[in-house]
Amino acid sequence: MNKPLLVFAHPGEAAAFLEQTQKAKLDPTVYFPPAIQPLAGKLHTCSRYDVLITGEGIFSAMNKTLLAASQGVKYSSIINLGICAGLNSKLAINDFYKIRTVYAHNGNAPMFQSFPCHELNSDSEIKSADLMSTFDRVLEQAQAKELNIFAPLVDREAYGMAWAAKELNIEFMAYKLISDLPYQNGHEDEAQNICESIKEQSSLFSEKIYYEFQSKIAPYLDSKEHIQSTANNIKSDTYSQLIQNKDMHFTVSMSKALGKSLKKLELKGVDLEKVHLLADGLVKNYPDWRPKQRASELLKAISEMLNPFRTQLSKNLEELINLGLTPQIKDRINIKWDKDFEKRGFQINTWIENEEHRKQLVDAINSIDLEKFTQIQDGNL
Amino acid sequence: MIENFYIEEEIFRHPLTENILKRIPHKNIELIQNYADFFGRVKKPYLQKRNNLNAFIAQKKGQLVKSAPDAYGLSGEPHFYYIHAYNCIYECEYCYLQGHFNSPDLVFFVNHNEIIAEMQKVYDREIIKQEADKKIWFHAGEFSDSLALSHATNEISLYHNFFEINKRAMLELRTKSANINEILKLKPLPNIVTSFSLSPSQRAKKTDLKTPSTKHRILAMSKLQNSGHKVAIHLDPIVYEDNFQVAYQELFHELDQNLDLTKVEYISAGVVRFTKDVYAQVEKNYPQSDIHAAEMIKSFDGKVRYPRPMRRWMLSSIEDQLLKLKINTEKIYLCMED
Repeated sequence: MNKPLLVFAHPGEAAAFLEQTQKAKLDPTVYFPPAIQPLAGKLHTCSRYDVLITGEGIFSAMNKTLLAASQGVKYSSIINLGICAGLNSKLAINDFYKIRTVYAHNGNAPMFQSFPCHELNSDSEIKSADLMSTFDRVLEQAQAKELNIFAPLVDREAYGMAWAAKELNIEFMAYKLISDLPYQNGHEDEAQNICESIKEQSSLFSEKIYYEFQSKIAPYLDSKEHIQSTANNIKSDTYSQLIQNKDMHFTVSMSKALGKSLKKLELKGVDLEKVHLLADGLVKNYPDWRPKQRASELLKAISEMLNPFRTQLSKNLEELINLGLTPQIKDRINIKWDKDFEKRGFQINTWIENEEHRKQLVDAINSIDLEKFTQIQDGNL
Repeated sequence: MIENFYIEEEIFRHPLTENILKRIPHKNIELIQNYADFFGRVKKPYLQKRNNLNAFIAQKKGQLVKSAPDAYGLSGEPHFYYIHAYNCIYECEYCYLQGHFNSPDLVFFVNHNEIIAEMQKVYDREIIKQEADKKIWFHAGEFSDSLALSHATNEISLYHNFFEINKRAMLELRTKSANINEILKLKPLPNIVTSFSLSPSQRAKKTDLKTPSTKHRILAMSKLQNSGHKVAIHLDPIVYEDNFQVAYQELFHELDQNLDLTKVEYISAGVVRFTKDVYAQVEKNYPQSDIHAAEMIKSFDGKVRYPRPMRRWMLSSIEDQLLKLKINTEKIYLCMED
C-alpha cells in the first residue's frame, strides 16, 4: 500500500511526532522515525509514514519535497502539517484548520496559480480556511489586512509543497495550527518578540498538531474510501478485468481510451456487463484474431454505443453510397467524409491507370445522390 | 450568505450600497480602494462559492456599454450590453462563468447613473444611423443574472426611467430567477422585455443547480404577462437526452397552459456549447454530470459541441414544435452558427 509523506517546514513542528516513538515505545520502523539527528532536508522512512523537514521558505519547501517524493517511493499523498499565522480577529491562537486552497504572494502581488487541497472524509470535523504562503514573514498589521482579503491564514511553505505535489501528480493536503496573530502587532519590536515567543512555544504547538493528526486525520488516511480515491480513481472493475484479459491487448493510448469510454458509459447509465458480453463474444467468435485486433474492435463497439447519432449517420451515408456503386468500382475507390461531420461533402481516393478507370470514377461520382448526401450531413435523418 | 463584503471606500455611503448590505446577509465588511486589486487576481476554485462566497461592491470602470456579439438577438438591429454585476448566485453545470473570471465571488456595480449616461450617448449616436422602424437593443445579464438579486441591488427602476424616455431603445433583462417583484412595481413598458432561460423540468433539476424550478419560472412569466409586461423565452442551452423531444413537448405544453404564447416577444433556441477552457472547468467541477457522456466534438471554431448534423436536427425539432403552437416564424430565433 502506498503511504503518505508528512512534510514539516521546521524540526520544531515535527518534534512531537518524532518523540512519540520514544515516548510510546513505538516500533521506529513502523510509526515515526526517532529524533536522534538533525532532520532538515532529509527524508526519514518508516513503513507507515515517511517524514520530511524542508526548511524555511517556498523554494526550499518545493525543492526538498520534489526531491524526496520523486526518489522511488510512490506516495499516496503529501500532507503538510505545521503552524501558521491568523490574519483577522475571528481567528484565535491554537485553532486548528484544514486548508482548502493554497495561494501565494511574492511580496509585490499575489501569484495567480492556486492549489486546491484534497479533502478527506474526516474534514467536516475540522474547520477549513484558505492559506496564503508568502515570500517574507508577515509581521505588520497593514500587510495582514491586505492579505486577509485573499486568505485568512498565512505561512511560508505550503505553496511550495503543493506545487511539488501537483508536479508529481500526488494529492496534497495541509493542516495548520494558528501560532500568532500579526494583525494585532503594532510595532516592529513587538513583531520581533512574536518570533521568539513562537520558538519558545514550539513544543506545545507540535503536541497539539500531533494530537489533531492522530485523532482526526490518521484514522481516515487508512480508510477504504481514501485508499480507493488515491488509487487514482481507478476506473471500474471492468477496466481492470479487460486490461488483464490475455485475449485482449490494449496499447497505452488504447488503455486511456478504454478508461475514458467506460467512464462515459457509466455516466450514461449503461450496464457495464454489456461490455463484458461484447468482449466475450469477440474472443469466442474470432479465435484467429490477434489480441490487439479484438481490443480495437471492442473500442469501436463501445464508441458506437457512446455515439449513436454519428454511428447512425455513417450507416445512412454508407447505404446511400452503396446504392449506386457497381461491384467493379467498389473495390477500387475509397470514399471518406469528416467523421465529426463538421464539414459537408465527401472525399474520393482512387488510382486511375486507364480510360476505363476514369469512366468508372465519373460514373461512381454521378451515382451518388449529392443532395441526399448533404441532407443527411445536415441532420435530416 | 456572503462571507465578506469588500466595498470600495468611495461608494461605502452610496444608497445602493446601503440597500445591498441591508438585504443580503453577510458576516463581515471590509473597505478597500479598488475591487480590481483583488477580484480575479488569484485563481479561486469555482465551487468555493458553495461555502465561502465573498462579494465586492464597486464602481464599473472602462467601457460601460459594449457591442453585443453577432448572435446575440434578433438580427438587423444594433445590440449592446451593459454590465451591472459579475458572477451569479446560481450554479448551472454548463455555465461559462466557471471559466471566465477565475473567481466565483460576486461583484455588484453601483454607478448605474454613469452606465445610463453612456447608454444615452450610444442611443443618440445609433438612432441617427438607423431607419425609423429600427430599435437599439441593450441587454443585461451577460455576466450575472439580471433579476436574481434585483431586490437588493435595486437598479431596475433607474434603467426603467431611461427606457420610458427613449422609446426606440429596447431593454432585455435575462434571467433564470423568479424574482420579479422589482419589475411588478414598475409601469409596463413596450420596450422592456424580461427573457427567461428555460429547460425541461427534469433537465433543469439535473443541471440548473440552485435555480428556481422551471415551473416557478413559468409562473413568474405568467404573472408578468398578466400584468402587461413583455416576456421572452430562451431555450438555451438545449442539452440532448434520449427523450429530449418529449421533454420539450411537455415544456411547451406547460408554457401554453400558463402563457399566451402568441404574445411572447421572441423565442430563441441554442444547443449547449463550451469553449475549450470552460469545458475543462465543467469536467473538473461536475465530473459526474451526464453532459460528459454526450456526443461532443471539437467543432469548426474550437468550441466543444454536438456534431453539426445533431445540432441542426435538434434545433429543427424544436422549431417544428414551436411552429405547431402557431408561433410566428419571425419570433423564432435559432442560434445557428452557420
